[in-house]
Amino acid sequence: MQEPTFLILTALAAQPLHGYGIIQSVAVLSDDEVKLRPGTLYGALDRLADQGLITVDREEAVDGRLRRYYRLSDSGAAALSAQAERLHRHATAAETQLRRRPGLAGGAAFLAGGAA
Amino acid sequence: MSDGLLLAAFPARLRRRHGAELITTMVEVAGPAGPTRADRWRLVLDGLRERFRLPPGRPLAVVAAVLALLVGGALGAAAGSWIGMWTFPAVPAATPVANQAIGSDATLDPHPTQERLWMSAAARLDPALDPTVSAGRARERLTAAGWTASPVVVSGGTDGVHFRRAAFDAEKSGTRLEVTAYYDEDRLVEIDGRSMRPASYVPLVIGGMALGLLAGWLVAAALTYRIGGARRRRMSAVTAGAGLALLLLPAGSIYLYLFHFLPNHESEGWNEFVHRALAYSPVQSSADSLNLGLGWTDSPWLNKGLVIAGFVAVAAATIIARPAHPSQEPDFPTDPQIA
Repeated sequence: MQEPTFLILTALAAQPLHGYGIIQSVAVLSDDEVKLRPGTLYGALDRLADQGLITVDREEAVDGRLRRYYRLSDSGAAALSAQAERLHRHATAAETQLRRRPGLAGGAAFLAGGAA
Repeated sequence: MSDGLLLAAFPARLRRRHGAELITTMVEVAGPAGPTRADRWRLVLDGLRERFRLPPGRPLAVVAAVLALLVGGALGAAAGSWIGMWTFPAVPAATPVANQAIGSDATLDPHPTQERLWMSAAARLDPALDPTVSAGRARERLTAAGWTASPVVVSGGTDGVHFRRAAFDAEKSGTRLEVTAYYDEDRLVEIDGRSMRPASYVPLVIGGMALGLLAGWLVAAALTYRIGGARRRRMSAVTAGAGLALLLLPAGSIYLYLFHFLPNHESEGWNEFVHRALAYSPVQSSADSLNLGLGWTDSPWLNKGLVIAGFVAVAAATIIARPAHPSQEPDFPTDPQIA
């Protein structure tokens, strides 16, 4: 699962969002490291929907413009959970390996700095 | 740039499913000032990029797209070659050129062969004249008329098979003449001319190939998505696969011609064209025979038939692969609880 996909599913985990809401949420979740554009967002949403990971929650018309809200499906939640678990395992493994790094203080300092 | 023009960059399925949302979101992201020209161009570029994407998690779609890329490249190269053929300069009329060469040393045979890209005339040398001397005089006449001629070379006559002959080449305005005077009983003099490959030919073939590669991939990307969302998925996939398989043989044939004749455009003194695998050659009428044996690469009618059959199969697959719910809007999976 690519990072933008992971972040889109993460953004939809708590509540249904419309396109602009997803873009804002992904920016917040990634500390502005991932900035989705409208032109890339909907291709990604389309593929996620084809895979059954998201569905349309509802539609609204705001100022005459269409707003469609998307929500995480059950299989999307399962896929996100599995990926989060996988990333967590990898992060834990990385931390463990860094603690074993020669010069324990340096490794610990690195981890402390990373956490800060 | 209008909204319709912006959305035209996107594949049809995204336009149909998300067209209105794309514009809404672009406006919302831009804020009160509205989208800038850069925002609009970025949307167009993102849309074009989407056209190149294949459905995720489908290895067969990748295989089909690579094969379609190769088929598209071959057909594009053939199309470029066909267009390039018309940039070859037409050869001059055979009779005046032949008469200019032979002067009063020989008598021209009636009915010389005249095509757009080649000509061939025959003449009978005065029995009292020596072929080498006459070839030298013909060379002088043509040089005086502005032709750039090679020296006269005498060869043959030693192997018991080929007649001894005196020959030279001459070039002018994109035409190459070959004048050959034989030491045979008929006192034959041949004056053959053919159009020389212009500088525009290779770029047209390469350009056609590049466009074909692009088109092949884009068609495959669009069709694999369409088949993925089709009601009759298996049948449309099999039909498209059959069409692709039919196109592979002529594509291979074109690539053989491409690799062989793009760097070496002459074969036994004739011009050769990359598209000869598909179409009648202006210089090789024998290539138009229906050859079903091992010589399939030299059988334009068979290859042409396969290309037509392949395109028909791909078109049929496109029709068969109608979306599962074409009349429903939005064409997008919805939550069954709210649908």
